Amino acid sequence: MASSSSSSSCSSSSEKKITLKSSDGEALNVEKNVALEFEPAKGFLEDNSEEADDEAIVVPLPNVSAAVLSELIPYVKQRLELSAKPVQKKLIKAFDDQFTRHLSDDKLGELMLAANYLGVNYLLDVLCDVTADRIKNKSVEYVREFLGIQNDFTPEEEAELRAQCPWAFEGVDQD
Amino acid sequence: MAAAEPSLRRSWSSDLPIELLSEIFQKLTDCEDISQCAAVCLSWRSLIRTLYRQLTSLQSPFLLLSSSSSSSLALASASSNNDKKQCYSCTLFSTQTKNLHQIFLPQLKERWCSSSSDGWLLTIPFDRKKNPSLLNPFTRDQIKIPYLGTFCKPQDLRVVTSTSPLDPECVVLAIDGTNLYVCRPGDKTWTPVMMIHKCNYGGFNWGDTICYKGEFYADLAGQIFHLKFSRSGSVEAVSLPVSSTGPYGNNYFVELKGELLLVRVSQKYDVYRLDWHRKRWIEVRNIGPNAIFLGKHSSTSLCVSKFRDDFEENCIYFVTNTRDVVVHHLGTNNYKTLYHSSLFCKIPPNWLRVESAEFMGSKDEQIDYVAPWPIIEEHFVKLLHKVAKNGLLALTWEEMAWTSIEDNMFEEFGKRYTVSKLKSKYDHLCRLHHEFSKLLAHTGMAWDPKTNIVRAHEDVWESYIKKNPLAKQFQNKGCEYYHLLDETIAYIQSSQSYNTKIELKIRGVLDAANMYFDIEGGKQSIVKNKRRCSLNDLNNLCPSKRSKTPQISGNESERSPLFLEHASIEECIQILEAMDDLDDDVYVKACEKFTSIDWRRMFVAMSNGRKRKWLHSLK
Repeated sequence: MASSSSSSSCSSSSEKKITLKSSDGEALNVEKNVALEFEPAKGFLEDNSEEADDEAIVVPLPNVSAAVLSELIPYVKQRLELSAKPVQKKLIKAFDDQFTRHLSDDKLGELMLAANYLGVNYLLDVLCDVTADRIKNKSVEYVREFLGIQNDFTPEEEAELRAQCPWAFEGVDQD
Repeated sequence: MAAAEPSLRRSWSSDLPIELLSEIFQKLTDCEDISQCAAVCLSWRSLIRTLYRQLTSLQSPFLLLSSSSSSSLALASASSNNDKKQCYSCTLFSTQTKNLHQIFLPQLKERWCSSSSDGWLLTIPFDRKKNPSLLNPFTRDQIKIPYLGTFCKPQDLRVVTSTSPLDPECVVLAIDGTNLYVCRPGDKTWTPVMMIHKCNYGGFNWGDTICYKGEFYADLAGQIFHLKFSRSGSVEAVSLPVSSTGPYGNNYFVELKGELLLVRVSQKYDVYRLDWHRKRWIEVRNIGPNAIFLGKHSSTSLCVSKFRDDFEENCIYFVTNTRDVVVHHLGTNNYKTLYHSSLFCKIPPNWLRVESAEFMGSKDEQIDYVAPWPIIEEHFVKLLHKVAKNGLLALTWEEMAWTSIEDNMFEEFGKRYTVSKLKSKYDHLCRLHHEFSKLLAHTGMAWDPKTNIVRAHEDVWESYIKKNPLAKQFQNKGCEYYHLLDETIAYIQSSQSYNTKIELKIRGVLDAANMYFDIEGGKQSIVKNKRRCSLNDLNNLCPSKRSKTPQISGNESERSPLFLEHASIEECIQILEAMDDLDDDVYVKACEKFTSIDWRRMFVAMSNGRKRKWLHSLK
């Protein structure tokens, strides 16, 4: 998807590499412009801007696992390349769709928390759309299971709901 | 679906910040999904409860079509799954998307439902032996209201609430034929509304009712009644002195952009707005980029511009006797049918509208000091002056006096300003007055009360404003009601005791207070000449400046001609009376004009011939 011309246009910044350290201790090398998309990393780099050698900087990201980071980094990188070009919104949407389509429910949740922590708002917006889509037209039971929510209504309330309204707990769409 | 550890699943959703969850709810475009989410867990329900006025899926009015058992027929066409026929649900028609939504509500078991205010449903048990309830179909909140005994047909019982029934301050009004009842959530019984001069209206059923700016109004045979809540807890329906709009018809009240509208539906639609000040209905031919939704149980209005092509502007959406919904354009008089009720539908459709956050916000707007509201202000100042003159603003009477001022303002302008807001308005006026007194005492400032302009050299102005930035407002125009305020404050201070000084201090008029009270002694020593205005004292304090500002100096006798209001109402009326060939109509019109000091000054200054020309132009 990334054309050679676009990668050369931002080569000056992308040559510089930054090391991100995940919650499970893994170190990942990323281009500086990608790292700058992450709010905590941006703040860290600004605070440590006097350090001459960027390579030496290790940015700790204690709330994000390496598995999630390795999903996020390619997405952000491609998204940056896409938005650098005067492309249509349709293309960006198609790219977002492609990225989110294969996500499992759990991965979706992890990515959402990570995107929230890292302040990647455009991804957060997409993920919220996907989540809303996945709970749309679904039963209460399904939504609870999907989001791992404990039902905290009192047994009386719950019994009433179940006895009088069993269909509310059946999937309206095929789950 | 990937099977994962339950513990892991629990972790991510519980970590989900509330803003993200709100974001997700915002993206749900279907009101059914909102209602389902409210059943997931307590925290989701409470989040939806706080959000639901902002949710995009609930912004437009719904048509409540049918409920519970009666819904099965209507649903057979809407839903492919016939197994759901026996469920308890209500069916909503979205006027925006033109889709049908079925909301499952176990609370509707063996109950009728109709719409109430603000998106709530009124549910009435079939056997009528249990209490009716108010039910919010979106948040699934339910509030019991007192048992109503035997009443008219359930579909004729109407309930209007002053705000969300979850608010403990909420007042619920039930309309049952010829009777009105009120209660608050949690009450055990209803309080009947008393009627004054009932005999004239015996036999008439109550027409439409509305809660407008926190007050209830009801229509009875074309006359508008206001419900007055007394401190003892009783409620009276008082006829408002507003002339009726003509022959009795189907009247509907609706609030549009903060104004109270009355729509009379006969062969055509006549829209009127209430002019509170002049106490009459004024015909409105065009309602602009808005739509009005009229129904027996609740009516609402909407600004169309936010919805692009989903609604038509300058239109009335009306539920007809045949239970269809027609859209009537006020400009072209064309109409079309929005929704055809099925023949099997026994209950007429009704509007269900969640009031949007903006609307709720605009309901208790603050008194705006900046906006030019000269009529209201003038009335307020004169009222204060009158009350103070009678010595009613003394400490012991103060609360009662303020309540009566508040009542008077309400009667005059149809808006509850509340005592605290009026007091703060008064404080603001006191500060203005104080600021202006200070300004007048300054060297080189000359105020002409006739034109209400302060003349001074530019340098004087500049240096004065630098020191007193608040004085900037007087650069173009002086203190409008300076003399009236001056007297009012003098009256109040003369009738109040030394103790009040603390209060005056809080109100920022300590300087003025000091002039009337002996600071040294704790006793109630009031300066002998209590009617002297503070200005004179200021001048006494700075005698050196006195000679330079002759316009504002002097003792009582010198002052009186100056402070006797030029172009006073009395003077103008005298001139009017002298013109013996004047129409009564013109006379009344002129009197209306004379409530403004500007018109009075112009009138007095005119030559006699011009005066007549001007009077005739008022016709």
